[in-house]
Amino acid sequence: MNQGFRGGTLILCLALLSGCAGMAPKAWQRGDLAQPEMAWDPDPVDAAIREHTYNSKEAATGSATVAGGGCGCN
Amino acid sequence: MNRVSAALAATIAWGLPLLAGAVEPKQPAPSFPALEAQRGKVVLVDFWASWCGPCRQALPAYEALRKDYGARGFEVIAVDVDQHPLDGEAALRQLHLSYPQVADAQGSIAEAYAVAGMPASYLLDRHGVVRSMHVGFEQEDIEPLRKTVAQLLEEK
Repeated sequence: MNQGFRGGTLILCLALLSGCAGMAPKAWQRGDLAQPEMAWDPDPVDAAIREHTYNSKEAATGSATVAGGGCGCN
Repeated sequence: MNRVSAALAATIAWGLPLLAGAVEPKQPAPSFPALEAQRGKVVLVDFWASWCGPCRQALPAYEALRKDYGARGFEVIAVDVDQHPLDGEAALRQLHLSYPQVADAQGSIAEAYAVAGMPASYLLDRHGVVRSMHVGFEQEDIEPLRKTVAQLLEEK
């Protein structure tokens, strides 16, 4: 009985593991994801300027990437 | 051991519907009204969307191909899978295409063809059998496609 219960639980768990496999958007459903506002950095130039200023003003070497502190003028 | 096998079988059975309906070469292509209307022709079914850059490059290239081979029985059907159809219509106004357009906002045709990436194109022979499939688009893809189309047009 105990072994049967374990086997049943194992089967149920393995079946449930694949339960979310079909939830990913299909190739033709990525229109909204492809919008610029969905990008990690919607404006890469603006993001680079902000990061440069942050590194400089905080003297935070290696904060987001490895960079030197200082006046932010280079 | 038997239980492990049973568990694996259950998992595979659970996932099988995800693979159902995949289109393969040498198999009849799933039918839809615009395709039926082109019966007897060599047809390129192209799935595209306005948000997909390579798709928008492919459409004019297929227009040129159709211009060359249309008279011999070659046709292109562009299936727009934009979930917001107005986006697709706006793109089409700029492209001035002469071949048939089909809107598939619900993705039912794309589902039937099990489109795996964008753009996806399926080349069908005169009998509606899938002869080749391609995902993605680069300008270098046109020449091999041109050769295959010419080859299929020779077949009866």
